[in-house]
Amino acid sequence: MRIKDGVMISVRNLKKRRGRTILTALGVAIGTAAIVSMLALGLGLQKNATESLGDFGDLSVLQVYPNWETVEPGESAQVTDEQILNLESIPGVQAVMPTIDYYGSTEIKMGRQYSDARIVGIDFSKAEAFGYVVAEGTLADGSFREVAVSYKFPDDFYEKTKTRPNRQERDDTGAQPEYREESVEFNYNLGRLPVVGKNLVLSQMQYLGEGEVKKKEYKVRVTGVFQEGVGEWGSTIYLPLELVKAMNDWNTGEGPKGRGVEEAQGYDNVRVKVANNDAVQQVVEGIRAQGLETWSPTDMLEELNQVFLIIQLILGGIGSVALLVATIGIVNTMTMSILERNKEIGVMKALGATIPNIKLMFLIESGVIGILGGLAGLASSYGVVALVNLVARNMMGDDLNSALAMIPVWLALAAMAFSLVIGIIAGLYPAGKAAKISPLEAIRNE
Amino acid sequence: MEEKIVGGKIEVQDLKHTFRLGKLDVPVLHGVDFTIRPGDFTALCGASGSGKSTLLNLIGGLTKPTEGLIRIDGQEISAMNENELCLFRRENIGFVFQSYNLMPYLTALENVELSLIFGEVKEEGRREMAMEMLEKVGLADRMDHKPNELSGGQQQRVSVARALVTKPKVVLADEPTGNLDSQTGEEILALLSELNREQKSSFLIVTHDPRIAEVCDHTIFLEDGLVVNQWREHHAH
Repeated sequence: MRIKDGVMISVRNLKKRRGRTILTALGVAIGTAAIVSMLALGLGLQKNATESLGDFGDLSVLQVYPNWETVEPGESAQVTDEQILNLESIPGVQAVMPTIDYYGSTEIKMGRQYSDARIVGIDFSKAEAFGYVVAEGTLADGSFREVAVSYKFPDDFYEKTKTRPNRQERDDTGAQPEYREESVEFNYNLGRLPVVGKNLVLSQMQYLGEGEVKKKEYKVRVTGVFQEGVGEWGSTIYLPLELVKAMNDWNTGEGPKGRGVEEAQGYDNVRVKVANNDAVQQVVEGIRAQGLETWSPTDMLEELNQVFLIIQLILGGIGSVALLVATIGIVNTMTMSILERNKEIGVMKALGATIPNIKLMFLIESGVIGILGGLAGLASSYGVVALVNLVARNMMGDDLNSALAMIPVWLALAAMAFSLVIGIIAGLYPAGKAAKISPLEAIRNE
Repeated sequence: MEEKIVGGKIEVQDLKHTFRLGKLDVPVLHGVDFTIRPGDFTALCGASGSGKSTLLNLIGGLTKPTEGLIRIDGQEISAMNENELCLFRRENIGFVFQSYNLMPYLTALENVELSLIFGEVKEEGRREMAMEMLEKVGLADRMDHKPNELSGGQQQRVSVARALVTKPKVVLADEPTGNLDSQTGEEILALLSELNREQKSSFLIVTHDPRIAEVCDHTIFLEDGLVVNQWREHHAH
């Protein structure tokens, strides 16, 4: 007997007992729907969390900072040049880029326009490895004359209009003019200004007390604007590392030209680019072995994954119980059905059905119940998922990165395969029982 | 028939069979001996409880005898294991049951085809064979009906077609007219007899209806598990 013939006979049989077939399959459907919907919810939550995490940036870029637990109080905690060399030698590390923030106050002018941009020192030779891609213009060459800016930089300029007292309003009488407070009007609505090729004047200021201000000016040219989403979020100017170091030194009065003798200690922030995502964990361990600390989105991802694994196990477990009950339901129905069909089975045997033939027919029958239940369950899962997403969208709105629940193709296929297997497993015992029925049953007349 | 079928010779020697009912052994056959010639239309008569149905089941290989020998066409089926019996049945034996025993969820045509499916007959031509057989039993216009849409006589015709479609060497019928009115019973009997002449299979019909014996080549009388009488008619085939 071929499978095809077996399917024909089994399907006819199930059709004949339609009500019972539907009820039994319903058990499988509920179990499947429970498992699939719950996994769909788990997977959707996980995807959402992972996507939100993806907003933090490139997973292959690690932030390295000093291990605060080992730093003595009062000691400044920075990553040293020596440590950076060590970082570069960790296997899997593609590039290391220290960055330095500028701490002092600066006035940034481009012609008549002002900017309050942050100033950050980076190593332009490594910029590309860290995803600093220019959208406009070219990358700065690393000389003190060239800078690059963040994508937001051209948006955040403003103009000042000062109304100065005690000047034009002094009249001929020589009388003391009425005291008027100096007022400054700001105009922020300048739109996005063209910056590439323009010169900026950065004025460092030191307040020495009693109104005395020491000033130092740097003239630099903007060579390029980075792509949106690169580097810092806001308006930022990227200068060569050494220039920012020098600016910080001037501020504190340290460094070669300053009064201080202390060497510049190192860097606030070091980024490590990992050659590929698989090496991230290895590099993280390497960094910690250097006595430094690091955080990468993968750390959090791993923790999240574990949390979601537990959620999925719990949800899946509830569904599994439902499916177990459904399996017992199939065994029950099939056993009952075989008892009723004793004679029929006997006749089949008398007609020449072999033991494998009989087993095959009943396994197909229970398999079909499983598949039917699986299909119905899967269909209802799609309904549940649609409903959950509808409710979630109404409640959470745009906070949702993607759908809250999702059924990937593999889950749908796995659900179908699983329900078929469940059906077949449930059929094993009844099929074995059926195969043992004597052909003499055919002759027995009630 | 295009294909020549040679009926099977049935030899039964010193056949004994005992049923076990709980702890009680109930002897049913006490040493039965007879031989049925190939192609004969044979009646097995006896009162209820005489052991005739048991004898039929043993010959059909549905169960194994306690003692003795059954040989069909030279093959000793009393020595076969269950699997061998199964394969033997499907190739050599056709059953007609008293209560027809059709599959209620299959049409007349599919019921006949079922024998061929179990008989591992190739799919091509299977349907045609079943249709041809149904035409032969006079049900050309009832092929797509389910058993519950057929009369008792018609159902028994389907059952006969199902038994004969595999062209078995031996056809065994257990009270084939037992559930039918006398008119219909006679028709079925006539059909069996006609098919016997046409197909040349050996037929063994269990009955307590003495009228059947009248149309048979060979009649065996069983009483209390023993052959008490038998005779052969000499019909001109």
